[in-house]
Amino acid sequence: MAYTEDDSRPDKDVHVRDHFDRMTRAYLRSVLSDEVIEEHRTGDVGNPSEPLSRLLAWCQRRPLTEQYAVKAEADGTFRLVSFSGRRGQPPRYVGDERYATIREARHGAFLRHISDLTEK
Amino acid sequence: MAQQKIFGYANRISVRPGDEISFHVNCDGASEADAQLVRLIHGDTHEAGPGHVEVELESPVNGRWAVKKQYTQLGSFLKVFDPENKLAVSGSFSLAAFIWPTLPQRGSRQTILGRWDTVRNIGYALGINPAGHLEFWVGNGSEVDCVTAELPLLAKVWYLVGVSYDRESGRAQLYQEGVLNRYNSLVGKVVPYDFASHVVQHFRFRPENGADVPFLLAGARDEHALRGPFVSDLFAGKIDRPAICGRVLTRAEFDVCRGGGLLPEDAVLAFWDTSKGYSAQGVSHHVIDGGPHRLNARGVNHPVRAMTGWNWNGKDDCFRIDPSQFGGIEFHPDAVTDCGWEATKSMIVPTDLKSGIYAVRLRVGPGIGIAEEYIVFVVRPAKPTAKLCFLVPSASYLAYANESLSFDAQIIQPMTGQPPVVTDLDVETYEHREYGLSTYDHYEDDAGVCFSSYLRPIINMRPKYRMSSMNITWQFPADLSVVAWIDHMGYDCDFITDEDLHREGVDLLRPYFCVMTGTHPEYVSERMLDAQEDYVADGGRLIYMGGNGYYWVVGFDPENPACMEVRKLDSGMRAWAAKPGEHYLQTTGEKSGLWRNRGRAPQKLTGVGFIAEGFETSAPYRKMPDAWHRTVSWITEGMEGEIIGDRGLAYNAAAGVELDRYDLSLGTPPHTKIIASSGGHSDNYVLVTEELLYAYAGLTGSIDYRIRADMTFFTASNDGAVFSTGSIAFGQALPANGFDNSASRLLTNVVNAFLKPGALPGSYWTVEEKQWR
Repeated sequence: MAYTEDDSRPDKDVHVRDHFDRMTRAYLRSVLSDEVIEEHRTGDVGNPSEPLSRLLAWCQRRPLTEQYAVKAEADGTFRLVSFSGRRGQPPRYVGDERYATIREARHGAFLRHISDLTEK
Repeated sequence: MAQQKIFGYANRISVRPGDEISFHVNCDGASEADAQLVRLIHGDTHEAGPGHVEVELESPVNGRWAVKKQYTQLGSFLKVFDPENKLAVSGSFSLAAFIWPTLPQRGSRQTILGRWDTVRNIGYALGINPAGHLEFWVGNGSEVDCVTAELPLLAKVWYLVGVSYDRESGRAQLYQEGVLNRYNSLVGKVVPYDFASHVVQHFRFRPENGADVPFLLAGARDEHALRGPFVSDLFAGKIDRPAICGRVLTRAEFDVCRGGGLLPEDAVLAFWDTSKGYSAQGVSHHVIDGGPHRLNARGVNHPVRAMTGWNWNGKDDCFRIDPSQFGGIEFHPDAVTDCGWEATKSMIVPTDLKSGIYAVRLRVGPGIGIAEEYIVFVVRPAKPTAKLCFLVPSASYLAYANESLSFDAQIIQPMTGQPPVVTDLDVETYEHREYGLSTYDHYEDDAGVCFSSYLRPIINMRPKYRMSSMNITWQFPADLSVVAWIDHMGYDCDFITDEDLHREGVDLLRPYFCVMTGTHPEYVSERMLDAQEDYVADGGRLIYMGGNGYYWVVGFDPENPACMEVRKLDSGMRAWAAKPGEHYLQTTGEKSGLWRNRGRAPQKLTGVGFIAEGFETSAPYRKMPDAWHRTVSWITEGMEGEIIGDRGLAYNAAAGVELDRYDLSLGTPPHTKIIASSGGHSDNYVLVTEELLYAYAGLTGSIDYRIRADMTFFTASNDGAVFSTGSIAFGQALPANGFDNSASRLLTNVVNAFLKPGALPGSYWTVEEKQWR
C-alpha cells in the first residue's frame, strides 16, 4: 500500500511496520535453507545459528494474530492454534495435524511461519 | 448436556486449626461434585520429578457437595447509599461530572451517573451511547427519550459533561466542554478538535422513578431471570466530582464549574467530592457526598482511586501534595476483585491438622482439566512448633493470578522464545473472563491491572498447572517443589503466608530458627520487608529460595486483606506503566514501583537482586573461589567437583528463568561470599531494564557477564545469616532424580546448619582469618 492513498487504517504506524516487514521477509527468504529448517527440527533452544536466530526473531515478533501456539489436547497430543487478537475470543485451530510431542508441535509452528514467509 | 466445569475459591488463604473457612463453588453441567480434602506435596508433572503428589485426608467435608451455577458481577462502579430515595427526583434536575472516557467507541451503552433500570426502562441517566456520543436519557417504563451530543467524545480527554432537565417543559440541554490542559489528557491544545456540544431536546414524557432502582456511578441496574439484579452498562474511564442538582442549571453555572468553581450550593442534591478522604495513608472505597443528604457512595470491585483528576497540573505527582488534583476515580467494565458467590460449604479446620498446604479437590464428570478444581489454603500452626518456617509468597500468587499473557501479549513470544502451550483450562478462563485478571494483564481499555484478590477462582494457584507462555510451573505449583523437598527430607516445618506476615510482622518469624521463601517472592509490602529485615538483624536465618524477589512495592487493602495493590512504574521488568501522577498506592499512600527505586534494593536483605530473565534453558552453577573459604566451605561440603544444580524441572538445571546478582553498589552486604554462580546463559536471557542507562547491542546471556545467578551467603548479628540461591529454577531442581542431586545436597547442608542453635559453622574463625582470601 505504499503508493496508494490508503486512509482506512487510523494508526499510520502499521504502514511503516509493513514496509519494515517487507524488507525483513526479503532478507529472510535469502537465508532460508533446508539446513536452517533441519537445525530447527533437531534443536531450537540455546543459541542457534545467525540465520535461524533471525528467522525465529521474525516469527516471534509477528502480530499476535499471526503467531502460533501449541494446544495440549486431552488425549495427550498437541495441535496448533492461532490467537484471535480479540479479548475473550478463543484461539482457533490451525490445520488438522496432531503432534506427539511439544517439540514436534513447535517445529510444526515454525514450518507454518516458513510457509507464511515464502507464501507457499 | 452442558460441558462440565467447576471452579471455586475460599474466603481465606491462611487459617489456623479451629478457624472456619468457607468454599465458594460455581459449577456448570452438574449438580453435585466429589469433594476430598488433600494435603499438597508436589505439583509438577514433569517426568524428571516425582509428579503430582497429594495425600487424601479424612474430613467431614469429603463426599458429595451440592453445587450450582453462580454468577459474577463484572466491572467496577460506585453504589450510592440512598435508603430514602432522595435521588428519585420528582422535579427538574441537572447532572454534572468531569469524565475521561477510555472507550467511548466501545459499541455498548455506558452510564456515567443516574438512576436507571435497563430492563424496565425506568429512570434517568447521563452516559455515552454505543456510537460514542454523550447522551442523556429518561424512561417511563415503556418508552425512552434522549438528547445526544452531535460530536463523539475523544478517548482519554477530560470533559465537563452535564445535562439540565426541566420537568415542566420537558426541555433537556446537554453540556459538553473539553477541559484539557497541557498535562491531563492524551492530546494537547494543538489538536484542532471541537470538544463542545450543547444540544437541546424536548422530551415527550416525564421519567418515572422505580423505588428499587439504585443511584449508580459508572453503571446501571440490570436483571436476569436466573441471576437476579446486577449492574450493566458499565463505564470505562475516569469520573471526577459528579453531582446532581435539584433544579435546572444554566450554562453559565456549568461554566463556573468548568473554571474550577463550585456548583450553586442551594441547588446541590448530592456532590460526590472524589478528592476528599485522602490521608497520608491513602484513600478508602468510600466516596464522600458533600451535599445536604450525605449520600456517600461505595466502590464495588475496586474502582481505582489515587488517580489524577481533571485539574491535574502535571507538577504535583502525589495526592499528598494537593488532593484536590486527584479526584479521578477510574472504572473498568472487566474488573473483578470479589466474585461474591454464595458459600457452598464451610469447614472448621481440625485441631490436629498439621501446618501445611492443603486443598479441597473437587471433581465433576471426567474429573480432569476444567472438570477438576483445587481450592488451595494454607494451614498455620496453632502455635509455632517447628524450627523451620516456609513463608508462602501469597502476594506474588495474587500478582500472577489468572494471567493471560499468552493470549493477549504480543511480546510474550519474543520474551520466551517459544510458542506457548495452552490447555483447555487456559482457553476456558480466557473465554469467560469473570474470574478476573492479574497484575500482568490490561483491562479492556489498555490500563494496567493494579488490584488482585483471592476472592475468585485462581487457576494458576493450583497443583499441576503450567504457565502457558513458559511451559513450566510458576509461583504456587513451582513452590510445591520446595514443599516436596521439605517433606522428603523429613523436616518439621510450619507454613505461614505473606498475608500473615503483613498483619503480624516480625513477631510471626521470631520463633523460627530458619525461614525459607518461595521460588519467586516478587511482591512485598513494607511490613513484610521490615519483618524479614528485623528477623535477620536479630539473629534469624533466611533462605531466599528464588529469583527476582523483594521487587515490587505492594499494599494490602485495609478493609479487605484478600486484595493487593501494585502500581508499575519508572523502571523494572513490567507489564504496564502507571500514568504520570498515578504512582502512589491508594491502600497505603506509599509510592509503588520497585523497592530498588525507594532505596531498598533486594541486595540489602538477600545479597542479590534481579539482573536477567530468560526462558527455554537453564544452566548449572559453578563454585566460585569463596566456596573454598574456610568460613563457608561447609555449604558445599560433600560435593564433588565444581558443578552444582545440573538437572531440574525448570529447563533441566538449577540456575534459570529469573536470575539475581551480587552487586555491592546496590547494597549487597560487603562481607557477602559468592558460593557459586551460573553464566553462559543463552541469548534469550536479557538484562533487566532497571540496569539500563543507555541501551546497546549485546545485553544478553552469551555476551554480558552480569547475566548469571549468584548463590550467596552472609552472616548477620546474633548468629543470623542469609543464604540466597539467586534463581527461580533452583526450587524446581530439588526434586530431580528422586531428590538426589547436588542442589538438594547443598540446600541440606544449609538448612541443617541453620536449624542448629548457636554459632554457625565457620563462624569460629577469628576476624583476621575471616578476612582471608
